[in-house]
Amino acid sequence: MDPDPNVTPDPLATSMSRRRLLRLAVGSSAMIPLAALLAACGGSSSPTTPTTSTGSTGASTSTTSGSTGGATTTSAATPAGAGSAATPAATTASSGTAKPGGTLTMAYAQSVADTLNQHISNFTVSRMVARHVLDCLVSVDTTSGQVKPWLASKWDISADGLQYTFTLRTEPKFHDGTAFNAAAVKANFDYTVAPNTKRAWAYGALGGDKYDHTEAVDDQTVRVVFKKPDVGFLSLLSDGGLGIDSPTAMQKLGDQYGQKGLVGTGAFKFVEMVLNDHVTLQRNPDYNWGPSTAKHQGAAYLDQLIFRDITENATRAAALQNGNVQMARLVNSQVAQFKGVNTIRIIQIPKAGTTRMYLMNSAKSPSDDINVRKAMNMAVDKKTLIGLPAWAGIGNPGIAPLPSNMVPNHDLSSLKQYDIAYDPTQAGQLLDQAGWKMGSDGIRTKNGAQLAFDFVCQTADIPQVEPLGGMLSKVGAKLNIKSGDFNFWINNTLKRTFDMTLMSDSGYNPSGLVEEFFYSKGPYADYLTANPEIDTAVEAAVNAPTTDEMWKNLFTAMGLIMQQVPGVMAWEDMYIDGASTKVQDVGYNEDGFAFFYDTWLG
Amino acid sequence: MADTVSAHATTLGAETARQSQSAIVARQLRRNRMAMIGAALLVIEVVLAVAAPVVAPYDPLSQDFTVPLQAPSAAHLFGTDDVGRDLLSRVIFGARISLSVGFIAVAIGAGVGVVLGIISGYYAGAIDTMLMRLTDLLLAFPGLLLALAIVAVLGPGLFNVMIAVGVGGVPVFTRLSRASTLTTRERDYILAARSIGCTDRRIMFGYVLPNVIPPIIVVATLGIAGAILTAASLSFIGVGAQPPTPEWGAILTLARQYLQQAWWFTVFPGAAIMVTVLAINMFGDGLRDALDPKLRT
Repeated sequence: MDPDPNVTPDPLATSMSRRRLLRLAVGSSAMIPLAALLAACGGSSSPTTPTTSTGSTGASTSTTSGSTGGATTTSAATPAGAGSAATPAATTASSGTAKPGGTLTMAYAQSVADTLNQHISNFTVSRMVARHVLDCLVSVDTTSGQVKPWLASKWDISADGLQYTFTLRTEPKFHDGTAFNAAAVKANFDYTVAPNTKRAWAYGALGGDKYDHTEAVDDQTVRVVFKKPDVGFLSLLSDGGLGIDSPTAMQKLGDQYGQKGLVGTGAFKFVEMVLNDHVTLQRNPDYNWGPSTAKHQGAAYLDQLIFRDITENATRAAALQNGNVQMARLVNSQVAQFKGVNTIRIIQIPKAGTTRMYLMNSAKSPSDDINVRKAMNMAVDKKTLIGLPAWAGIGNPGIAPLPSNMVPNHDLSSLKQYDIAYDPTQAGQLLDQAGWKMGSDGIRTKNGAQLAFDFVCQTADIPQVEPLGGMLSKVGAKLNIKSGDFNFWINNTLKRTFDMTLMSDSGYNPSGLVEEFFYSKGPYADYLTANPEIDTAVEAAVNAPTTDEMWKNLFTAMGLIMQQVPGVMAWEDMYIDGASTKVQDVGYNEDGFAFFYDTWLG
Repeated sequence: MADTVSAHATTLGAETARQSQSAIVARQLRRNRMAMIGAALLVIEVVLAVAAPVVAPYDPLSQDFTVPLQAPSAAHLFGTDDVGRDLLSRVIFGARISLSVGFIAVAIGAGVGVVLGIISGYYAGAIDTMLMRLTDLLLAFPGLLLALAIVAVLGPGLFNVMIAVGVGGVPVFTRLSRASTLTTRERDYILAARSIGCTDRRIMFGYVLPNVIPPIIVVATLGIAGAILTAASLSFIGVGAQPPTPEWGAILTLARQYLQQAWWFTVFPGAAIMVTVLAINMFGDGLRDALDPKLRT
């Protein structure tokens, strides 16, 4: 039958049969090798480490000191603090004159995992976001490590280290009009330690079991009393986790506080939070009591600050590259992606926390032999590791359980004597002496067992674990990588069902970090068989009345720990932020997270 | 004597019929260009997979820290990955893993599904109802989600992936073989077999099963492609092959971090998955057409 000449054929009427689809697919796939060939002709290069900035030194600070008759006092500035002596990037370099206006969007993988109520959140980023709405009693100068005034203009510490008396400023006001005074500070700390308040980071930072109570001596004077000395307390007061909330708002919103609202005295006011999506803050125009560590005083420059959640690393980097966000937290492997991109700069921030460690389970064979643990150290070339794409050259070879940015004057030289140098030849000799003979398949055996380690890690960490397998294979050891999600990893580490794992923790409490992993009663303890000398030194550090005493004991503990060779102190890690070149004066706190009070858009 | 000759003639006749049937199917396949291309690609892949230790230029697990993320070159035709491993060697060895996973997963699914389907279709009644409700339950889940849930219970690893993907295929094969059984069990020769005292087991697996096989072969062939894709997806999200196994999906998991700076890291393993799945689909389509009497030419 002939087609009807009065009907125009519909060009879209042809159905796509499976057969036709397959033919198209075959044709397309034939183009792939051609495209690859053309791209290869265009040339590609291996990634190299781009030029990065580590920012300028921090703002000038003012120190105050106070004294009370009778009791000995300590000036407000605590040398070296209880935490890091200094991090290089207090504020990034700026060009031009600061001007108000604009919206800055910062992308984290997850800004707020549970709540902005920092009393009950265990998530670091949540506390860092909250810190823009809440002010803290003090602020750590990340250049010098000194603790500087903020909501507290001065403070005294009793000689026995059990009482901290703060004099509060009179200018600050809560966003909801509630008076900022000693009663408000007391209400915050009472809430943190209240029996029905969930125990979270803030509880430990306030001293945990060492904390006794807080007194409102008068409107402008608040005293925090401890049962045992806690030298970490003063520095940790600078963390958003111990920021000061409006007691009125906390009472009014109840369980919804931190989700439906957040009220502090900060440079930014809470606008809204959509969990797993974004947090929006807007400038507080009345703000005039910034930290003494800041570059300026008065209101913040930015009109609006948005924290966006972009979980997928590649998507987050793409959002930065496309200009959808002005700043983003990146991972090492993405640094090369921005090489040659003139509109983006890379900021490296030393991470507050422990060194990244390939920890070995010394309660289990084969790593129950200290000579095996030493040999594994000798097999690892830390400099080569850091040069690989998974590190992109960012970070420093590790030496001790704490990285150099966490110790006074960045000086770990006294512990270098315990550092085990890369020497694969000696590693082989040590293993031979320990009875591990090389097999024909390149793997050593002893009494019929292979020199094999079950390495438990998170899937995201695989790029930084596989190279270890390559290095160990050169000395005749085998790495069996078992990867999974966070729960898989943490369950295996807590149950000690691993031979090796990649471990670290972030935070600004040095004695607490060492205690966490190497004290026999710590949550992750028993990587070493219980060692009374280490326990004694750690206890002395944790309970030291002064920071000098704490560091002295901590270095003793670290030396003892390193002599036990708990694993490979692999590298000192860094956070990496990508920022549009329009973003000026990004501040970083002691935890390595951005603080946007001084930030402006060029 | 006459009976023997007659029986022999009948056997010969059946044999001749089967051979003619096979010849017809083979001829149909040969005429189908797409199917032949698919078959050729598959043969090449299988040969490469079997001969991988000989064909691959490097040890797929050997790391060379002097050449990480190197672009394709004469020394490394597909380039290298983030720890300097030769990508061509890893893709070739990956063929072994992917094809094995595909075949074994389908074998598990078909093996269990066909048995359950024949039992269900043959006995009908309560057994059939129960088994069909069970397959309905499994079919309610998207295949990848079901496989993910099974791996979450069993733990990560290639062997568990094979089981997970295989279990996901059971309901499909169960339903298909049940349908064939329902039509076959009413045939005269089945009734005759029953009447001369053959056991149910002999009838099911001696007489019914041969009739179920042809459609199963087609679905199984196409199912291999799906199994390879599912296994690669599970490895991609980190619950499949464990490092340093050169499974294609696992390679892509690492590669995606370097998408912008090392295109070869994603393109070659991705293309390997695509070509394999395409080849299997093309051959499977051709096989289905050849076995379908309505499409005979």
